[in-house]
Amino acid sequence: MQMACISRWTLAFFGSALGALVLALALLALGIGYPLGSLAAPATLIVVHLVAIGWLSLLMLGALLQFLPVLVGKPLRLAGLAPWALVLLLVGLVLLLGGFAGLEGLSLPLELLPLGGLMLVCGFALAAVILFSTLFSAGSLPFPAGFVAVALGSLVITVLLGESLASALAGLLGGDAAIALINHGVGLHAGFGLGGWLTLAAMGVSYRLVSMFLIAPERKGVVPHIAFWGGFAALAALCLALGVVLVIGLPSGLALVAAGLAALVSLGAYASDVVALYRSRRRRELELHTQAAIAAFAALGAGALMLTGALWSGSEGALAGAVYLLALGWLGGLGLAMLYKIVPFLTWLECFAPDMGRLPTPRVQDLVHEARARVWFWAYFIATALTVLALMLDLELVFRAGAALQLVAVLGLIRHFYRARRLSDISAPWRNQSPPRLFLPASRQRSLS
Amino acid sequence: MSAPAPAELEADIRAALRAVIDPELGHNIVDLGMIYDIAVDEAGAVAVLMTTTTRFCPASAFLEEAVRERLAGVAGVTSAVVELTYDPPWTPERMAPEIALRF
Repeated sequence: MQMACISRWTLAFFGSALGALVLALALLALGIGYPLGSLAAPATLIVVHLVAIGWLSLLMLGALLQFLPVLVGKPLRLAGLAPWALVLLLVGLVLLLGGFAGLEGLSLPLELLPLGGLMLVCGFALAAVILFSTLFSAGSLPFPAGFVAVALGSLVITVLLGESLASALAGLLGGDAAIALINHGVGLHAGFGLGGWLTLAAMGVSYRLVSMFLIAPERKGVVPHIAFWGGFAALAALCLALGVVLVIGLPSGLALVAAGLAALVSLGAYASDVVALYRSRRRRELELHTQAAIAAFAALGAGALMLTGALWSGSEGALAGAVYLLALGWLGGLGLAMLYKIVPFLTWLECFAPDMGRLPTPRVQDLVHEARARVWFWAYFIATALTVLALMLDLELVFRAGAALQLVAVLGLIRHFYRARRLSDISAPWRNQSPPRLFLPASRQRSLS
Repeated sequence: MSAPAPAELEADIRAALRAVIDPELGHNIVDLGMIYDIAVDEAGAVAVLMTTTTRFCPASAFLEEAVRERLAGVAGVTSAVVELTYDPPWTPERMAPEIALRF
């Protein structure tokens, strides 16, 4: 029987992602980007892409490299491409940000935008090849993996649309289609990225991981299928809206409303499943990461409703607040919560799994100190709520203070990830165990698959 | 010294496998209900059918290897085959009642 094993490059993806998050929050705390600048200002685009590509996409790809095999029951295919994908994505991101800085007025060539975009296309393409070939190696896809397959399709569209936008902004792409893309394509680019790629992938992975961590029966029946097909329909409607923009150069209100309604149906079904998973759990005492995940799920519900209201009312502050809540409360909050479990789990696999059956081994929980880390999750989610409120009320200084508090909270959590990795909080009997490398692949591997 | 009877050997094997702790749940795999079957013949050949709490968990291979390792240390076991299955899948109902109470 084929079995999942340790993904060697996942922690390198996670480390890079956390670095991008720290940088993005530092820029926001310093007042760079929105709300001091406009939503479309180059400085805002720098922060947005640091979060969307640097933090959230690298985090999701790192997680998928480890957990897609768990979803499909097949080993990761073409795993050797993973470090190349990471390098291309990091270089592409730096070049893209350089291009935006050029737009801002720094003496950097605008051609960095499409060049960075091209590197990002290559990096994401390599990642997609790994993940799609792993998906296709499974005879049939369990429904959580179906979410990931659709999400990867949306990632491809996001990246190609982003590269087209970058080329149009740099003046390398002209014509009516380029003008239409610049005028009406940015919102679709964000929808495909935050909604289709990141949210659908997070939904798929969380169906399996939350069930696993809570010891709850996996969700079956019609509700998870409504969540899946609703998400699929929303994505199809976004594709239709993009087609209309490219063909006639105007936004399609009907397609966008259809996408929004389908997304709400999907999220409603997903929320109902998440509540059912928590209610049917056999683990009475919630671990810290499953407690923190509740705040992220709440952010998804609140963010989706806020986004609906903002698009209805046309309020820029409400729109910015909703997107911030979805990106950093829902996706970012869930990511930090899951990292608090995944980092010690991977560390346990490297350090202690090979000793099972020969020596006493600790639990994964023995590698962390939840009481000390809890305060940072509270700080993170309170700060996120504060920044969202500040965006809605246009309170710039409060927004910057909130971003600074988020930064402090993230640094506090990174310290705990570091301590788990260094075995600093482990129980007494295992204190003499050598810790693994921080990010790079383990030097001592035991191949069993 | 004669080889232990199959029933006796099975009891020894269960005792040995109680040293394998599921890293996520913190209890031994026997009381968690992850050992589906232990077949022992007169010659000491052993076949263990086991599962893990999560299908294709990254720790599965290590748990399977740990079972193999424990079997090798049981006196009277002449050969051992360990098979991992997810049919039927593990459910929390498989836990021993005294373990289930602790969750």
